[in-house]
Amino acid sequence: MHSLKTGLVNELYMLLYRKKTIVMLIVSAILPVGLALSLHKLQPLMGLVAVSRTFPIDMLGFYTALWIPLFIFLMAADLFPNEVSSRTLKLSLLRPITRFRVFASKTLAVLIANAAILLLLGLVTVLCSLFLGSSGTFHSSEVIKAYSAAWLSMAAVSALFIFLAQWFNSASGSFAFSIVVYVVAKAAPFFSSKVASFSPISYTDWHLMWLNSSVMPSKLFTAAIFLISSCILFLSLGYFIFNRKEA
Amino acid sequence: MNGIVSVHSLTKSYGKQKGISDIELELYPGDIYGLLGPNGAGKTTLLKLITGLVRPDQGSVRLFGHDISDQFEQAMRKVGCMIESADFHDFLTADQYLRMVARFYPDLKENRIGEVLEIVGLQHARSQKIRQFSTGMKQKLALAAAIMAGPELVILDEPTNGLDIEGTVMFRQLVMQCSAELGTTFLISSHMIHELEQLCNRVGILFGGKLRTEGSVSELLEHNQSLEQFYIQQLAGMKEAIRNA
Repeated sequence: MHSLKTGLVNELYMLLYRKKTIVMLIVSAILPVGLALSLHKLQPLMGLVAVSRTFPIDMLGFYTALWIPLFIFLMAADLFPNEVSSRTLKLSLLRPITRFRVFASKTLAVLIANAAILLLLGLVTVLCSLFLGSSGTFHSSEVIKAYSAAWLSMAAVSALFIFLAQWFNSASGSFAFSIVVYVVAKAAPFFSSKVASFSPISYTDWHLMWLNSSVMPSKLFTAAIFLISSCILFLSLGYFIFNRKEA
Repeated sequence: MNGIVSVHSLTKSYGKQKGISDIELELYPGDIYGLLGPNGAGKTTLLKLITGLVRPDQGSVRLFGHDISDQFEQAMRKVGCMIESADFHDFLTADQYLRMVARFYPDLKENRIGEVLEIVGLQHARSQKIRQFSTGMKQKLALAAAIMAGPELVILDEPTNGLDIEGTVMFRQLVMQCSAELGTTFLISSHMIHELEQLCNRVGILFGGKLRTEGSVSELLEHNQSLEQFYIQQLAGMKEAIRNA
């Protein structure tokens, strides 16, 4: 376990040493503040537009649909194909750590980074909602529930794009392909509703289901099992390819 | 006597391209083994197979008695490597990179990073980004990482590439010192035959993916003026044999 922990710590440090990660984290925090301030200023002019008590949930929808997937594409491209093209994968593989643990540490780093963005977004939007928002009741349990659910859907999206990244030997190719796959997968349900049931990308807004009291617990359970299964399936396939890579 | 490195029937091919075939190699504690061969002979492929970077089609590699295919962590615990070119995450500083390496070895002394940087002559560049490093500096940093944990086996692929004269002398002294004081075993692939002649106690010549000749340097020098002369003779003989076959 020491090697897995070390691998994970190293991957997390490397994410933080990359300028683009820091920029994305800063933008993740600034974006809701900017939006909240703008809405606060515009409220007297536009009446209804205001930072409501549901601001953390409203922003979560935008983040899970666009911002976090973009972050996932970047991280998956950096941690896998970029390491092959820049021949730095061997730096990890030549240490006393198995390939499985190298793969696991990179994957865990992506999942932890997702959690960090969600935590940052949650904190910032809750503060915006409290200090700049309109009056009303604030349900912290709902926010926690929604953000936890969002993390699971982002984990499934991460697993899918980590798997896809294994097919590439260049970061730019992987990043561009991920965007195309994401757009196609988002548009596909408009043409065939069946696609939505079997694509983890269709679950980016499933946190809303957790806030809707009319949704049956069995449906939430089924969706959760689907997302967990997607994680297991895509990560297993991803590892299968990663394990065969020559550094 | 059990070998620190035991390679048996190791074979790897790349489609129609030759890799290596049927390699048998045994390294014993304290050996400084030089791997010689022309470009494309399979030296890097052999070192990649020994360190698990590439999977063999056939055969096995054991390091310290552990098979690298199923006991990789145990096998690599006492191994330091520098394979192919010295590539790094260039957004890191030398210190940040070596800290990452050091985390894998929890028993290291706190000032070990400073020590290895001083050994390779890079202490002045500790906080410098690797992207500002010259090829020789990167090579030195790779050497520093390879000896970080005081390994019992060091595997080096073209370690003097890009090193200036001072760097080459430092490398030679480093190998001699580790060998004399710590009994470190070395497996070195290099074209710098004079360097290998001074350093190694055993050499092997790889040609066309096969380990054609092996022997003790002192014995070879009894019958030849230099290792270079022996190598050239052997290579000519091998080429001739292949032409006649």
